[in-house]
Amino acid sequence: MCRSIVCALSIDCHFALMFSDAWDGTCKRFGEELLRRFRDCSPAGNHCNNSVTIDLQRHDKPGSGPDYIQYIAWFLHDVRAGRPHWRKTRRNANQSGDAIGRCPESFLEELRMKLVSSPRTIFAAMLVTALLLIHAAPAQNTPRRIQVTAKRFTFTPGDITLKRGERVVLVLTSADVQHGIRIKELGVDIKAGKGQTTEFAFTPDKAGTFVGHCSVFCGSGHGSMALTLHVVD
Amino acid sequence: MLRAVFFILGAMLLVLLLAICIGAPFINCKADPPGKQETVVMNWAKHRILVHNKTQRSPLNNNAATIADGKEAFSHYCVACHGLDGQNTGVPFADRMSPPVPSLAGRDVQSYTDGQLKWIIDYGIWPSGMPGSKNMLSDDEIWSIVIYLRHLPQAGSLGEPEMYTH
Repeated sequence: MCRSIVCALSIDCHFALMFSDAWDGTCKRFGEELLRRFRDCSPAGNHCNNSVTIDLQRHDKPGSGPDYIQYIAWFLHDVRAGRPHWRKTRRNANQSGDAIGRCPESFLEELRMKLVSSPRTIFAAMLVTALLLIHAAPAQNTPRRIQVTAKRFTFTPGDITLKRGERVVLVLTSADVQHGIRIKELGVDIKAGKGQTTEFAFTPDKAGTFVGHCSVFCGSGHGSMALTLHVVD
Repeated sequence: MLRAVFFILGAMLLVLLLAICIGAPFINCKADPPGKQETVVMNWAKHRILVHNKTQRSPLNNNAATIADGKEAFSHYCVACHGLDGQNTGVPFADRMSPPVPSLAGRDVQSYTDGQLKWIIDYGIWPSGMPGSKNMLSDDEIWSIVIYLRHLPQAGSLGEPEMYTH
């Protein structure tokens, strides 16, 4: 059962590599999930888990994709054999400068055969892939939430950087009297009553620096109560 | 030498006290309306010398949305003295101040440039009762008020400020 999941996740890493344009944190997240699940059932335990995590971070950069897959395969091989993984990796790295090393071809072949031949593994792979993709899809579309607190002529934070085209939700909380934020250029208009929280979703469609002011008269410092949005490409 | 200085200062203080005592019955701080000559002189001085920023232009577009913004900003506290319509409608003390609160639709006010009106709202006018609003209102709000002043509604058309109707 455990091996099936691990194999499925390693397959999913292949899928993720194919789907993603660049080698980014996506595959690392899959890898971490792989290791988290492995920790619960692996005879190698946390020691192995930590060493692999460190190496994954080091190789989480463009061009490391194939190395990463190779590494997972090697890791599986060691875990299956019940060998501690960390010391071996470090020794290899120190001696040859190659932190990845090579997984025995025999095991790679065995793994490929298992992946191709086992219906249960393929089913598990498809299931896990589907679940991960379904799980990942809403995460990409979920707008970033930005909490802003208004109190006594100040917005906190007073400077916010946004990405052009990235949908965000401005969550305005007033800690004293009624306040508001209005940025005409970006179509932002939000008000929060005394002690209340209000949300406003928008997508900045132009780059630049935009200054919004409190839109509800709130006292002697009202005119200088400002929030600056930096929208970058 | 030091005694001479003290003597002169003491004498000056005595003269000042005498002047106050003798002049008090004739000079007072009643808020009487200014005389015609005083009004003419002060109007000339304000338009020509005292109110700055004659050439600055409004950065805002002159459209219905900006006028509505100006009307909204005007309602924050300008209405307390100028009424909702900027013509003192419903303001009980408007003609009891010295100088009286002017109608913002009148020629004296409308003949200021946009930049001068912005300056007046920013810094106020001493020694009238007009306060400065810089930092109490944002620049955009003040410019929108200037535009609203150029498009004031008919006197009395907006009713009286709520604060005076209870």
